[in-house]
Amino acid sequence: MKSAISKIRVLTAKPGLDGHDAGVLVVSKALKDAGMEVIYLGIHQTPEAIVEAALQEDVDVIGLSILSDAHMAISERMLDLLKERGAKNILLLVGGIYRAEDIPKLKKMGVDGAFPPDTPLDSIVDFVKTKVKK
Amino acid sequence: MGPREYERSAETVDSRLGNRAHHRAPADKIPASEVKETQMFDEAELKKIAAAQKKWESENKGEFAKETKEFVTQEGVPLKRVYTPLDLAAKNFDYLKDMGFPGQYPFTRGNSPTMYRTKPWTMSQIGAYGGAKETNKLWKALLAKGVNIFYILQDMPSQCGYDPDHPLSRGEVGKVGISLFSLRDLEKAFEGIDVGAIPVQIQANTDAAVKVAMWLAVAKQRGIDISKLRGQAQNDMLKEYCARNTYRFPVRPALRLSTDLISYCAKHVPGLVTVGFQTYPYGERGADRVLQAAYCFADAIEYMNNMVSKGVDIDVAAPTFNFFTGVNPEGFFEELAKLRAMRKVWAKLMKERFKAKDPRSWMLRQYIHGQGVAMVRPQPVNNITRSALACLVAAFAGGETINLITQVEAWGVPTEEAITVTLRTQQIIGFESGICNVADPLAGSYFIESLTCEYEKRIWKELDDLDAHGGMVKAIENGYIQSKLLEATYKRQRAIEKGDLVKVCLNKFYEGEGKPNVAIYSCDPAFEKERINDLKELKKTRDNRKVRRALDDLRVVAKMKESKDSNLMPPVIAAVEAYATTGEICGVLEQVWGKFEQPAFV
Repeated sequence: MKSAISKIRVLTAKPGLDGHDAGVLVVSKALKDAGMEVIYLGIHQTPEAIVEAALQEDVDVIGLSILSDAHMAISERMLDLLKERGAKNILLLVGGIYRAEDIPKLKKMGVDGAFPPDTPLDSIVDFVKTKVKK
Repeated sequence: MGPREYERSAETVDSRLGNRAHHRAPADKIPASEVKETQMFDEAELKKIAAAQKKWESENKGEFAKETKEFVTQEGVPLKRVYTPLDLAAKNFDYLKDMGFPGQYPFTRGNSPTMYRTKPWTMSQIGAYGGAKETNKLWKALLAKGVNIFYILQDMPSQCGYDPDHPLSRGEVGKVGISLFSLRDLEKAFEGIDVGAIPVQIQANTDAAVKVAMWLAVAKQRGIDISKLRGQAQNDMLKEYCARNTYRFPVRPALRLSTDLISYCAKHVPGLVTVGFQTYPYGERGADRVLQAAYCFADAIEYMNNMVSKGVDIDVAAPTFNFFTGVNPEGFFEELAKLRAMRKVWAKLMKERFKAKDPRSWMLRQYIHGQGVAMVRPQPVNNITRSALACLVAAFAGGETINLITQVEAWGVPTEEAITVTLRTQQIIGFESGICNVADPLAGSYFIESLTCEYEKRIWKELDDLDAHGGMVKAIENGYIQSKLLEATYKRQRAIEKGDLVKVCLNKFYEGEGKPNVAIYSCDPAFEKERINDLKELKKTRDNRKVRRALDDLRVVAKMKESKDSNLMPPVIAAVEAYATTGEICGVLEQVWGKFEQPAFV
């Protein structure tokens, strides 16, 4: 049982081969500066490795950055894995470049937050703070 | 006052030459390079100007009070209201030493005595995607429109040395560039294109050796003498680890592979630019201009130290270098001053630190690229204007080759339509505006020359700091550079969100996102499967024994100690010519060298 004053734990990562990590780094830092525990797994990750690390680190949130047009397929795989491993309560957030019309599709799939380019950092921080029940 | 007056005392000279203090020469021995050549300003006349300026300032106090902003560059250099000869005198500006003439050390005014008067710069436009057939079609179309050089832009798997069937390649094949895993792909991409006549830019880093080998193999197949080929390889590994991330192997073996390509090709393919040292990705991270230049030069210093230790003659290798520099239209004059300062620093670095003798080693040749980070997603058509500004700076900076970013940068991969607009932008500036008629036309501006001197001084200081850190490789291996870049990116993001960094239609004059009026590339979802089948077909039809032998030879050389006798290019070339794939070749290298692990820096 998590204590009321324990920090929110977030795992951030980039699945696939896209190496443009400026976005995920900047969001990771913003979350860290806001008092959260952030584990940045890095680039070139697979959904399997991400979910494994998320469980090992006992995180509340997973944040992914995808700029290679693979967000639908990867989100689907992530949600399947989280369900399989009994970790449905972990929030899944997906940032990156995708078509506006994909956002409602992602939400319907089960993605908790979709953040396209130009989303202000503070709104992501507030979103996490609000959604994670501690 | 003549030059002799300035030899009076070491102290006097040193105190005036802040930007040359790094030499640490004994106080009684002033190097010849420190002695002033031209005394530009008469002290009495300067006093007159100073007095007149003081009067002007007192007459306009009221107007000045209306300025509420603090004017300072990103690097912290104050931007004065107006610049005069006094500013150049304060910098101890020496026309012959600091500027000279085009085509002459220190090359501040450009690398050629005629600059663009004989012809404008080489106009490049990046374009490649999907399969060999699609890219071939695009290249032929661009050629017909006046592009001077092709750009082999690869998809992510191809850049990282993975074949399409690797788990990490899932969803990535053909998306952001051409899928290129074997010689067969390049043969097809170059169908009907005269590889001997048209230079090619090969955007490959981790497997630059493989992709250059493929290009050489196509030329050889067509009976073209490789010593006559012209092209440019990116092959700039160090920036990958901290700012671009298509790395694979640990830093030192990757550096070895990279410099082996340089020494091999400098000898056999002298028309190939063997490495394009970049400021670009540092600029993309929001690093200030001094850091961009210093990190770029620090990368080059590591390359040169490595090659010198392998017995490579610096004057054989350095003439094959060029620089992939970025221009951000958010700071028009600052970017121009950055590039001019870089010329001066490089010339001196090569002449004095590396003792190069060939003037071509002292020259900073540039492939100038508009910064993508300056482009904005909302109302994308306005990015054309941003690119035009970047082109103008690049032309004033005398770049040998220029490439501009398209309007759809924040939306997706551009197609022929968007690429054509940026090509026309270059052509209008090059052929219509008249700026090519005079070499280095903005030189002598009190502002630009002052800022150039100031950047030069700061770049030298940053290089000293990096030397103190143990050099670029160490600074990357312990995450120092990565953390500096994160700081810079974060600062930029916050500045945009606060509105301190104005971006029209994003944080000022916002009128909705809009959308591009030109087509964006969309990769056929069946393409990935097609490529996996191509791979299977290749493995069935090639001589697999030849491939296995070639890969075994490669493994042997990769295990050898790094030296001039264990150059990796010959075995890579043999493997490529046997139709080994980049995945197989890089797979062998990873088995021997391992993989790079990013240090923690968040």
